[in-house]
Amino acid sequence: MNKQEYLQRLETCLRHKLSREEIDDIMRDYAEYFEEGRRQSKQDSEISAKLGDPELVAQQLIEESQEQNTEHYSASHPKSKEQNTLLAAVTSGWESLKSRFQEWRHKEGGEETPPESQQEPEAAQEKVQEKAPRVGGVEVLIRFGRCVVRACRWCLNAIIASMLTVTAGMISAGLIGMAAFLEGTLIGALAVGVIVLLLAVFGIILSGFAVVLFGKWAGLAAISASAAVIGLAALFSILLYHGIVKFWKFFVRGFWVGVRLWNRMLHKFEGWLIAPKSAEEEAPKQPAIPDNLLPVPVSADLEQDNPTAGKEGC
Amino acid sequence: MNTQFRKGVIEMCILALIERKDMYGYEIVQSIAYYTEINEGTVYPILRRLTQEEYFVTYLKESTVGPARKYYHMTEKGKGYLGSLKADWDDFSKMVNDILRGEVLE
Repeated sequence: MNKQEYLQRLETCLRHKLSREEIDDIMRDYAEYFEEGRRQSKQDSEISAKLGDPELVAQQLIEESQEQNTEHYSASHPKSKEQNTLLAAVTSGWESLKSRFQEWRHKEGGEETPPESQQEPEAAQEKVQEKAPRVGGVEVLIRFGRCVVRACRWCLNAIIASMLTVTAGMISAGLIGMAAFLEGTLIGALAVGVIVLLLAVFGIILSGFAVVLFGKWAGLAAISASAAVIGLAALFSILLYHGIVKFWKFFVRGFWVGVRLWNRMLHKFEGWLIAPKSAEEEAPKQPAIPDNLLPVPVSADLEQDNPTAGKEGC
Repeated sequence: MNTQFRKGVIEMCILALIERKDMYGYEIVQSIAYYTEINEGTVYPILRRLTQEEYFVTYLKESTVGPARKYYHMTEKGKGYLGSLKADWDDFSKMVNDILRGEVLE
Protein backbone atom coordinates (compact mmCIF):
# COMPACT_ATOMS: atom_id res chain seq x y z
CA MET A 1 0.00 0.00 0.00
CA ASN A 2 1.49 3.36 -0.90
CA LYS A 3 1.09 6.67 0.90
CA GLN A 4 -1.84 7.78 -1.22
CA GLU A 5 -3.79 4.57 -0.73
CA TYR A 6 -3.09 4.47 2.96
CA LEU A 7 -4.22 8.04 3.56
CA GLN A 8 -7.26 7.50 1.40
CA ARG A 9 -8.36 4.41 3.31
CA LEU A 10 -7.77 6.19 6.58
CA GLU A 11 -9.79 9.18 5.48
CA THR A 12 -12.65 7.00 4.25
CA CYS A 13 -12.90 5.42 7.67
CA LEU A 14 -12.77 8.72 9.51
CA ARG A 15 -15.19 10.58 7.29
CA HIS A 16 -18.36 11.64 9.14
CA LYS A 17 -16.98 10.28 12.39
CA LEU A 18 -14.68 13.19 13.15
CA SER A 19 -14.85 16.83 12.17
CA ARG A 20 -13.27 18.04 8.95
CA GLU A 21 -10.56 19.98 10.78
CA GLU A 22 -9.62 16.95 12.82
CA ILE A 23 -9.44 14.75 9.73
CA ASP A 24 -7.32 17.30 7.88
CA ASP A 25 -5.00 17.50 10.85
CA ILE A 26 -4.71 13.71 11.04
CA MET A 27 -4.05 13.49 7.31
CA ARG A 28 -1.30 16.07 7.75
CA ASP A 29 0.26 14.05 10.58
CA TYR A 30 0.30 10.77 8.68
CA ALA A 31 1.49 12.44 5.47
CA GLU A 32 4.37 13.91 7.46
CA TYR A 33 5.09 10.47 8.85
CA PHE A 34 5.31 8.98 5.37
CA GLU A 35 7.55 11.80 4.22
CA GLU A 36 9.91 11.25 7.16
CA GLY A 37 9.95 7.54 6.43
CA ARG A 38 10.75 8.22 2.78
CA ARG A 39 13.57 10.46 3.85
CA GLN A 40 15.01 7.48 5.72
CA SER A 41 14.76 5.73 2.33
CA LYS A 42 12.02 3.43 3.48
CA GLN A 43 9.47 2.04 1.06
CA ASP A 44 5.87 3.18 1.37
CA SER A 45 4.80 -0.43 1.76
CA GLU A 46 7.19 -0.85 4.67
CA ILE A 47 5.95 2.31 6.36
CA SER A 48 2.30 1.40 5.98
CA ALA A 49 2.94 -2.11 7.25
CA LYS A 50 4.57 -0.67 10.36
CA LEU A 51 1.70 1.75 10.86
CA GLY A 52 -0.79 -1.10 10.82
CA ASP A 53 -4.20 -1.43 9.21
CA PRO A 54 -5.66 2.00 8.39
CA GLU A 55 -9.02 0.71 9.60
CA LEU A 56 -7.57 -0.15 12.99
CA VAL A 57 -5.75 3.16 13.21
CA ALA A 58 -8.95 5.00 12.30
CA GLN A 59 -10.85 3.10 14.94
CA GLN A 60 -8.28 4.04 17.52
CA LEU A 61 -8.31 7.68 16.47
CA ILE A 62 -12.08 7.73 16.87
CA GLU A 63 -11.94 5.97 20.22
CA GLU A 64 -9.29 8.33 21.56
CA SER A 65 -11.25 11.29 20.32
CA GLN A 66 -14.39 10.05 22.06
CA GLU A 67 -12.48 9.29 25.23
CA GLN A 68 -11.22 12.83 25.20
CA ASN A 69 -14.69 14.23 24.55
CA THR A 70 -16.34 12.39 27.42
CA GLU A 71 -13.54 13.33 29.78
CA HIS A 72 -13.75 16.89 28.61
CA TYR A 73 -17.50 16.89 29.00
CA SER A 74 -17.55 15.42 32.49
CA ALA A 75 -14.80 17.79 33.50
CA SER A 76 -16.43 20.91 32.12
CA HIS A 77 -19.97 20.07 33.14
CA PRO A 78 -19.70 20.69 36.90
CA LYS A 79 -17.67 23.79 36.20
CA SER A 80 -20.45 25.25 34.08
CA LYS A 81 -22.84 24.83 37.02
CA GLU A 82 -20.58 26.75 39.30
CA GLN A 83 -20.02 29.49 36.81
CA ASN A 84 -22.52 31.39 34.77
CA THR A 85 -24.82 28.57 33.66
CA LEU A 86 -26.65 30.57 31.05
CA LEU A 87 -23.48 31.73 29.38
CA ALA A 88 -22.09 28.20 29.38
CA ALA A 89 -25.32 26.86 27.89
CA VAL A 90 -25.35 29.44 25.14
CA THR A 91 -21.69 28.84 24.38
CA SER A 92 -22.05 25.07 24.19
CA GLY A 93 -25.25 25.47 22.16
CA TRP A 94 -23.46 27.76 19.76
CA GLU A 95 -20.50 25.36 19.56
CA SER A 96 -22.65 22.38 18.72
CA LEU A 97 -24.65 24.42 16.20
CA LYS A 98 -21.43 25.50 14.57
CA SER A 99 -20.08 21.97 14.42
CA ARG A 100 -23.38 20.72 13.04
CA PHE A 101 -23.38 23.39 10.39
CA GLN A 102 -19.83 22.52 9.41
CA GLU A 103 -20.72 18.87 9.29
CA TRP A 104 -23.75 19.67 7.15
CA ARG A 105 -21.79 21.87 4.81
CA HIS A 106 -19.11 19.26 4.51
CA LYS A 107 -21.68 16.57 3.79
CA GLU A 108 -23.27 18.56 1.00
CA GLY A 109 -19.86 18.94 -0.56
CA GLY A 110 -19.02 15.27 -0.11
CA GLU A 111 -19.96 12.46 -2.41
CA GLU A 112 -21.98 10.15 -0.25
CA THR A 113 -23.95 10.24 2.95
CA PRO A 114 -23.56 7.39 5.41
CA PRO A 115 -26.52 6.28 7.47
CA GLU A 116 -24.64 6.50 10.78
CA SER A 117 -24.55 10.27 10.67
CA GLN A 118 -28.32 10.38 10.99
CA GLN A 119 -28.51 9.62 14.67
CA GLU A 120 -25.67 11.79 15.74
CA PRO A 121 -27.09 15.14 14.63
CA GLU A 122 -30.40 14.21 16.26
CA ALA A 123 -28.66 13.74 19.56
CA ALA A 124 -26.84 16.99 19.03
CA GLN A 125 -30.10 18.71 18.24
CA GLU A 126 -31.68 17.52 21.45
CA LYS A 127 -28.74 18.84 23.37
CA VAL A 128 -29.02 22.16 21.62
CA GLN A 129 -32.72 22.47 22.27
CA GLU A 130 -32.28 21.58 25.90
CA LYS A 131 -29.62 24.12 26.52
CA ALA A 132 -30.40 26.93 24.15
CA PRO A 133 -33.91 26.85 22.67
CA ARG A 134 -33.32 30.07 20.75
CA VAL A 135 -31.28 28.37 18.05
CA GLY A 136 -34.00 25.74 17.36
CA GLY A 137 -35.39 27.62 14.37
CA VAL A 138 -32.09 27.69 12.56
CA GLU A 139 -31.62 24.01 13.28
CA VAL A 140 -34.95 23.20 11.67
CA LEU A 141 -34.12 25.34 8.65
CA ILE A 142 -30.78 23.62 8.18
CA ARG A 143 -32.41 20.25 8.58
CA PHE A 144 -35.14 21.11 6.10
CA GLY A 145 -32.66 22.41 3.55
CA ARG A 146 -30.58 19.33 3.98
CA CYS A 147 -33.60 17.07 3.46
CA VAL A 148 -34.56 18.88 0.25
CA VAL A 149 -31.03 18.78 -1.14
CA ARG A 150 -30.66 15.16 -0.21
CA ALA A 151 -33.98 14.19 -1.76
CA CYS A 152 -33.16 16.02 -5.00
CA ARG A 153 -29.80 14.38 -5.14
CA TRP A 154 -31.30 10.98 -4.49
CA CYS A 155 -33.87 11.41 -7.27
CA LEU A 156 -31.16 12.50 -9.67
CA ASN A 157 -29.04 9.52 -8.69
CA ALA A 158 -32.00 7.18 -9.13
CA ILE A 159 -32.71 8.55 -12.60
CA ILE A 160 -29.10 8.27 -13.66
CA ALA A 161 -28.84 4.79 -12.17
CA SER A 162 -31.95 3.50 -13.92
CA MET A 163 -30.91 5.04 -17.22
CA LEU A 164 -27.48 3.48 -16.95
CA THR A 165 -29.00 0.14 -15.95
CA VAL A 166 -31.33 0.15 -18.95
CA THR A 167 -28.53 1.15 -21.31
CA ALA A 168 -26.17 -1.45 -19.90
CA GLY A 169 -28.95 -4.05 -20.06
CA MET A 170 -29.58 -3.27 -23.71
CA ILE A 171 -25.90 -3.43 -24.56
CA SER A 172 -25.49 -6.69 -22.64
CA ALA A 173 -28.53 -8.27 -24.27
CA GLY A 174 -27.37 -7.10 -27.70
CA LEU A 175 -23.89 -8.49 -27.23
CA ILE A 176 -25.17 -11.82 -25.89
CA GLY A 177 -27.65 -12.07 -28.77
CA MET A 178 -24.96 -11.30 -31.33
CA ALA A 179 -22.59 -13.82 -29.79
CA ALA A 180 -25.31 -16.46 -29.71
CA PHE A 181 -26.16 -15.77 -33.36
CA LEU A 182 -22.53 -16.06 -34.44
CA GLU A 183 -22.01 -19.20 -32.39
CA GLY A 184 -25.20 -20.68 -33.84
CA THR A 185 -24.10 -19.88 -37.39
CA LEU A 186 -20.72 -21.50 -36.79
CA ILE A 187 -22.33 -24.61 -35.31
CA GLY A 188 -24.73 -24.78 -38.27
CA ALA A 189 -21.80 -24.56 -40.70
CA LEU A 190 -20.04 -27.33 -38.79
CA ALA A 191 -23.14 -29.50 -39.07
CA VAL A 192 -23.21 -28.89 -42.84
CA GLY A 193 -19.52 -29.82 -43.05
CA VAL A 194 -20.10 -33.06 -41.16
CA ILE A 195 -23.09 -33.97 -43.35
CA VAL A 196 -21.04 -33.35 -46.50
CA LEU A 197 -18.31 -35.53 -45.01
CA LEU A 198 -20.76 -38.36 -44.39
CA LEU A 199 -22.21 -37.99 -47.89
CA ALA A 200 -18.72 -38.25 -49.36
CA VAL A 201 -18.07 -41.43 -47.37
CA PHE A 202 -21.30 -42.75 -48.79
CA GLY A 203 -20.02 -41.65 -52.24
CA ILE A 204 -17.03 -43.98 -51.89
CA ILE A 205 -19.40 -46.89 -51.34
CA LEU A 206 -21.42 -45.76 -54.33
CA SER A 207 -18.30 -45.60 -56.49
CA GLY A 208 -18.06 -49.39 -56.11
CA PHE A 209 -21.37 -49.62 -57.89
CA ALA A 210 -20.13 -47.12 -60.49
CA VAL A 211 -17.22 -49.43 -61.36
CA VAL A 212 -19.65 -52.29 -61.94
CA LEU A 213 -22.27 -50.27 -63.80
CA PHE A 214 -20.29 -47.64 -65.82
CA GLY A 215 -16.78 -48.99 -66.09
CA LYS A 216 -13.60 -48.43 -64.13
CA TRP A 217 -12.91 -44.84 -65.24
CA ALA A 218 -16.25 -43.62 -63.95
CA GLY A 219 -15.63 -45.50 -60.73
CA LEU A 220 -12.14 -43.98 -60.41
CA ALA A 221 -13.55 -40.51 -61.01
CA ALA A 222 -16.23 -41.07 -58.36
CA ILE A 223 -13.66 -42.30 -55.83
CA SER A 224 -11.28 -39.42 -56.35
CA ALA A 225 -14.14 -36.91 -56.25
CA SER A 226 -15.37 -38.46 -52.99
CA ALA A 227 -11.87 -38.44 -51.50
CA ALA A 228 -11.41 -34.81 -52.45
CA VAL A 229 -14.75 -33.91 -50.90
CA ILE A 230 -13.86 -35.89 -47.75
CA GLY A 231 -10.58 -34.04 -47.45
CA LEU A 232 -12.07 -30.63 -47.97
CA ALA A 233 -15.04 -31.29 -45.68
CA ALA A 234 -12.77 -32.66 -42.95
CA LEU A 235 -10.47 -29.64 -43.18
CA PHE A 236 -13.45 -27.32 -43.16
CA SER A 237 -14.97 -29.09 -40.12
CA ILE A 238 -11.73 -29.10 -38.16
CA LEU A 239 -11.18 -25.42 -38.81
CA LEU A 240 -14.76 -24.67 -37.86
CA TYR A 241 -14.48 -26.74 -34.71
CA HIS A 242 -11.40 -24.82 -33.61
CA GLY A 243 -13.13 -21.59 -34.45
CA ILE A 244 -16.13 -22.58 -32.38
CA VAL A 245 -14.02 -23.55 -29.37
CA LYS A 246 -11.99 -20.35 -29.59
CA PHE A 247 -15.04 -18.21 -29.95
CA TRP A 248 -16.77 -19.96 -27.08
CA LYS A 249 -13.82 -19.35 -24.78
CA PHE A 250 -13.72 -15.73 -25.86
CA PHE A 251 -17.43 -15.46 -25.27
CA VAL A 252 -17.19 -16.98 -21.78
CA ARG A 253 -14.36 -14.66 -20.86
CA GLY A 254 -16.29 -11.69 -22.17
CA PHE A 255 -19.31 -12.85 -20.23
CA TRP A 256 -17.42 -12.84 -16.95
CA VAL A 257 -15.94 -9.46 -17.72
CA GLY A 258 -19.49 -8.28 -18.25
CA VAL A 259 -20.61 -9.82 -14.99
CA ARG A 260 -17.79 -8.09 -13.18
CA LEU A 261 -18.68 -4.77 -14.74
CA TRP A 262 -22.29 -5.27 -13.74
CA ASN A 263 -21.30 -6.09 -10.22
CA ARG A 264 -19.16 -3.01 -9.97
CA MET A 265 -21.84 -0.80 -11.45
CA LEU A 266 -24.50 -2.12 -9.10
CA HIS A 267 -22.14 -1.76 -6.19
CA LYS A 268 -21.78 1.87 -7.10
CA PHE A 269 -25.53 2.34 -7.43
CA GLU A 270 -25.95 0.70 -4.08
CA GLY A 271 -23.66 3.35 -2.65
CA TRP A 272 -25.67 6.09 -4.32
CA LEU A 273 -29.09 4.88 -3.49
CA ILE A 274 -29.17 2.56 -0.53
CA ALA A 275 -26.89 4.44 1.81
CA PRO A 276 -29.41 7.25 2.53
CA LYS A 277 -32.23 5.83 4.60
CA SER A 278 -34.97 7.24 2.42
CA ALA A 279 -33.79 5.05 -0.42
CA GLU A 280 -34.48 1.75 1.28
CA GLU A 281 -37.94 1.06 -0.16
CA GLU A 282 -36.90 1.63 -3.73
CA ALA A 283 -33.54 -0.02 -3.55
CA PRO A 284 -34.47 -3.70 -4.11
CA LYS A 285 -35.48 -3.03 -7.70
CA GLN A 286 -31.84 -2.47 -8.59
CA PRO A 287 -30.37 -5.89 -7.87
CA ALA A 288 -33.47 -7.58 -9.36
CA ILE A 289 -32.48 -6.84 -12.94
CA PRO A 290 -29.23 -8.73 -13.28
CA ASP A 291 -30.17 -11.74 -11.16
CA ASN A 292 -30.14 -14.03 -14.16
CA LEU A 293 -26.82 -12.59 -15.27
CA LEU A 294 -25.06 -12.52 -11.95
CA PRO A 295 -24.09 -15.85 -10.42
CA VAL A 296 -23.71 -15.61 -6.69
CA PRO A 297 -20.21 -17.07 -6.09
CA VAL A 298 -18.51 -14.49 -8.30
CA SER A 299 -19.36 -11.55 -6.13
CA ALA A 300 -17.45 -13.08 -3.24
CA ASP A 301 -14.08 -13.18 -4.91
CA LEU A 302 -14.73 -9.89 -6.65
CA GLU A 303 -14.90 -8.16 -3.32
CA GLN A 304 -11.23 -8.88 -2.87
CA ASP A 305 -9.90 -7.16 -5.91
CA ASN A 306 -12.40 -4.36 -5.66
CA PRO A 307 -10.49 -1.45 -4.13
CA THR A 308 -13.61 0.07 -2.61
CA ALA A 309 -14.38 -3.11 -0.69
CA GLY A 310 -12.34 -1.78 2.21
CA LYS A 311 -15.07 0.71 2.97
CA GLU A 312 -17.18 -1.94 4.60
CA GLY A 313 -14.35 -2.77 6.96
CA CYS A 314 -14.75 0.30 9.10
CA MET B 1 0.11 -7.87 26.48
CA ASN B 2 -3.29 -6.43 27.25
CA THR B 3 -3.96 -3.59 24.78
CA GLN B 4 -5.44 -1.22 27.30
CA PHE B 5 -2.57 -1.70 29.68
CA ARG B 6 -0.06 -1.37 26.89
CA LYS B 7 -1.70 1.81 25.70
CA GLY B 8 -1.41 3.33 29.16
CA VAL B 9 2.27 2.45 29.33
CA ILE B 10 2.97 3.80 25.85
CA GLU B 11 1.22 7.00 26.85
CA MET B 12 3.54 7.35 29.80
CA CYS B 13 6.57 6.68 27.59
CA ILE B 14 5.46 9.34 25.13
CA LEU B 15 5.09 11.83 27.95
CA ALA B 16 8.50 10.92 29.33
CA LEU B 17 10.17 11.32 25.94
CA ILE B 18 8.66 14.69 25.21
CA GLU B 19 9.45 15.94 28.69
CA ARG B 20 13.13 15.70 27.85
CA LYS B 21 12.98 17.59 24.58
CA ASP B 22 10.51 18.75 21.95
CA MET B 23 10.04 16.04 19.36
CA TYR B 24 8.14 15.47 16.13
CA GLY B 25 5.86 12.54 15.39
CA TYR B 26 8.22 10.33 13.45
CA GLU B 27 10.98 10.87 15.98
CA ILE B 28 8.70 9.87 18.85
CA VAL B 29 7.49 6.75 17.09
CA GLN B 30 11.01 5.68 16.18
CA SER B 31 12.27 6.31 19.70
CA ILE B 32 9.65 3.99 21.13
CA ALA B 33 10.06 1.46 18.31
CA TYR B 34 13.74 1.36 19.21
CA TYR B 35 12.87 -0.16 22.59
CA THR B 36 9.84 -2.26 21.80
CA GLU B 37 7.73 -3.64 19.00
CA ILE B 38 4.73 -1.36 18.49
CA ASN B 39 2.09 -0.70 15.90
CA GLU B 40 3.48 2.63 14.80
CA GLY B 41 0.07 3.90 13.75
CA THR B 42 -1.18 3.79 17.33
CA VAL B 43 1.14 6.52 18.59
CA TYR B 44 -0.58 9.38 16.77
CA PRO B 45 -4.01 8.75 18.32
CA ILE B 46 -2.43 8.94 21.77
CA LEU B 47 -0.45 12.05 20.82
CA ARG B 48 -3.64 13.72 19.61
CA ARG B 49 -5.53 12.96 22.79
CA LEU B 50 -2.72 14.15 25.02
CA THR B 51 -2.54 17.34 22.98
CA GLN B 52 -6.27 17.85 23.27
CA GLU B 53 -5.98 17.36 27.00
CA GLU B 54 -3.43 20.19 26.93
CA TYR B 55 -0.47 18.16 28.09
CA PHE B 56 1.30 19.22 24.90
CA VAL B 57 1.26 22.19 22.63
CA THR B 58 2.31 21.76 19.03
CA TYR B 59 4.12 24.04 16.65
CA LEU B 60 5.28 23.68 13.08
CA LYS B 61 8.94 24.03 12.32
CA GLU B 62 10.26 24.30 8.81
CA SER B 63 12.67 21.57 7.92
CA THR B 64 15.56 22.04 5.53
CA VAL B 65 14.99 18.70 3.86
CA GLY B 66 11.26 18.48 3.43
CA PRO B 67 7.82 19.58 4.61
CA ALA B 68 7.37 21.27 7.99
CA ARG B 69 7.48 19.06 11.05
CA LYS B 70 4.94 19.25 13.82
CA TYR B 71 6.77 19.40 17.14
CA TYR B 72 5.24 18.51 20.48
CA HIS B 73 6.19 20.55 23.52
CA MET B 74 5.17 19.63 27.05
CA THR B 75 3.10 22.10 29.07
CA GLU B 76 3.18 22.60 32.82
CA LYS B 77 -0.07 20.65 33.00
CA GLY B 78 1.63 17.80 31.14
CA LYS B 79 4.55 17.84 33.54
CA GLY B 80 2.20 17.61 36.49
CA TYR B 81 0.32 14.75 34.87
CA LEU B 82 3.51 12.87 34.07
CA GLY B 83 4.67 13.37 37.67
CA SER B 84 1.53 11.76 39.02
CA LEU B 85 1.74 8.98 36.44
CA LYS B 86 5.32 8.26 37.43
CA ALA B 87 4.43 8.10 41.10
CA ASP B 88 1.53 5.76 40.31
CA TRP B 89 3.79 3.64 38.17
CA ASP B 90 6.42 3.35 40.88
CA ASP B 91 3.86 2.27 43.44
CA PHE B 92 2.21 -0.09 41.03
CA SER B 93 5.40 -1.72 39.75
CA LYS B 94 6.74 -2.09 43.27
CA MET B 95 3.51 -3.80 44.31
CA VAL B 96 3.57 -6.10 41.26
CA ASN B 97 7.21 -6.96 41.77
CA ASP B 98 6.62 -7.69 45.43
CA ILE B 99 3.82 -10.07 44.58
CA LEU B 100 5.77 -11.71 41.76
CA ARG B 101 8.75 -12.32 44.04
CA GLY B 102 6.51 -13.56 46.79
CA GLU B 103 7.81 -10.95 49.22
CA VAL B 104 4.35 -10.10 50.41
CA LEU B 105 3.75 -13.56 51.77
CA GLU B 106 6.98 -13.85 53.66
